[in-house]
Amino acid sequence: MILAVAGGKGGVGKSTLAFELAAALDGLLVDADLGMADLPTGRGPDLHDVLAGRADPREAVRDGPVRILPCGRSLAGARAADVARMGDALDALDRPDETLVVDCPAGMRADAGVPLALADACVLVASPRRFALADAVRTRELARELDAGLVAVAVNRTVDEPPLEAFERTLGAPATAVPADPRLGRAVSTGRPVVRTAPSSAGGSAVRSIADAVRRARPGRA
Amino acid sequence: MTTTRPTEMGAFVGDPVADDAPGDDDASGDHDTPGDGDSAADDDPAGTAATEIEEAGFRLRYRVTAADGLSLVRIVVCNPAPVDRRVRIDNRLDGAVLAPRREGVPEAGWDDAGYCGTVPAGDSLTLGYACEAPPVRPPVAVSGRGRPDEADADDAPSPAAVVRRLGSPAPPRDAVPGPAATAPRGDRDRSPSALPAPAAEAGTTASETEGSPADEGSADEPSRPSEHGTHAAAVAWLDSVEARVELGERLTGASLAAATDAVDDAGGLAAVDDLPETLAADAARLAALAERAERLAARADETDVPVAALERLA
Repeated sequence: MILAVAGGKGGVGKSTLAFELAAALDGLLVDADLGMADLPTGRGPDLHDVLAGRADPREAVRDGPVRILPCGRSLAGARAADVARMGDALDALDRPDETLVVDCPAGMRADAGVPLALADACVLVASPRRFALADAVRTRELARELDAGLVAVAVNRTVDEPPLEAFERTLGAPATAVPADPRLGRAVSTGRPVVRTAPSSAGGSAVRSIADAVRRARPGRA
Repeated sequence: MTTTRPTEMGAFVGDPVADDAPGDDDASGDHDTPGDGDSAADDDPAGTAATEIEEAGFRLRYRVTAADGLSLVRIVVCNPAPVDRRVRIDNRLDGAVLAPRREGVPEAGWDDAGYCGTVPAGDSLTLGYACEAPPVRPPVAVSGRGRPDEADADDAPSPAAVVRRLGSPAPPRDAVPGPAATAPRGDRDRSPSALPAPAAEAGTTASETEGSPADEGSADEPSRPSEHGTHAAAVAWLDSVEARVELGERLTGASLAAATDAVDDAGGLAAVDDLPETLAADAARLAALAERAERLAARADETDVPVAALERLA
């Protein structure tokens, strides 16, 4: 199953949520942010190379606390990458017993749209501030057109009680508040997903509840 | 079942099939295809070169022009029926269809052999494509594909369709550091459309070598020139282009004697061998440069640096 973690706006915590969800689901995380990757990379082939036809997607997967297919960070690599190849790459990685968690880029261009078109389901990450709703709605519309069923909305980095109902009403999917927790912010860089290190924390349980929603959306699979 | 009849005068006023071919220029005059009616098609106010046929219950108006070894096919498919109908247009020319593209991806419905789409009831569909083959009349075969709702249950959007709709996410070439993005230089063997990709393939792992800041001043690129040096290099490049264009002009439509002189001046036939490609590359670079220069000039005009205010505040 392919799960796209999307959200229109940049900086709302898509990568963090994608990392946590991949950890919670024991899935494979694909950093599809071709222009502004922010998940850990390292040496060796990455998604840029895969989309440029220079590497096999399976060879580009790195083991770690969360298995990840990283993305290069150079503009030249981004320019050489053909996003239309994403379908073949994800197909090669998709296994029935595993969730592919695709961290989508911000924006509304094809690099954000292609993962949604390929995904079986998506999770929208939104900021709790009301003005952030516009981007979430746009992405929601795009996901609807591209047939990526919205399974959950993560209202990320909440401090006060967020207007969850407004999000649910507008976006048409259950919304979960993910509290602002510095451990979540550090999870990617330290490689320690909160959902594992502190599963009963408010942040950890929020991630788990979103992961449960994703599991329920699996089409007839374990 | 295929009936052909001449077009009625005035029937196609404002119709793309009857309109003059846009973008045709005198260059095609050098490559006149005998019997094709290239120029006749362009100077043909009555539209006699446009032909109308009926096929599979559709009315098809077409026009084929030849230019430079390419055939340009323009068609209008009318559906006189009171229901929407799907239509398949198959190219009859002896070559692959060069379909209209957006963001580098063929428009929806096009494939190598033709087009498949829906014509609304009582309405028409205007299409055009190019083909690297001599013209054939009629250029296409039309077949009906029933009502749209049966065949139109479209599968999930493909990545290509998404790219076409949302636009390629690739960063613009100007944004990419490296040889391909630097100011134009006089070296003639670098294609203006050279992307970083082919260069990268020659190297080791591309992502490790490309685009790193340390990369900018290394390799075959001399260290970043000063602004003055860049200006001088730009002027030198423009001078070299001008020399090539002048040579090209001298050779264009020249008499044998004049051409011989020009070739001699240029240093022999070998020197003009790749002139057409080089000039085409020059033209592309100049067009890109002109566009960017215009944008920059407009932006420069828009600026208003409040020097006095800044001095007051300092």
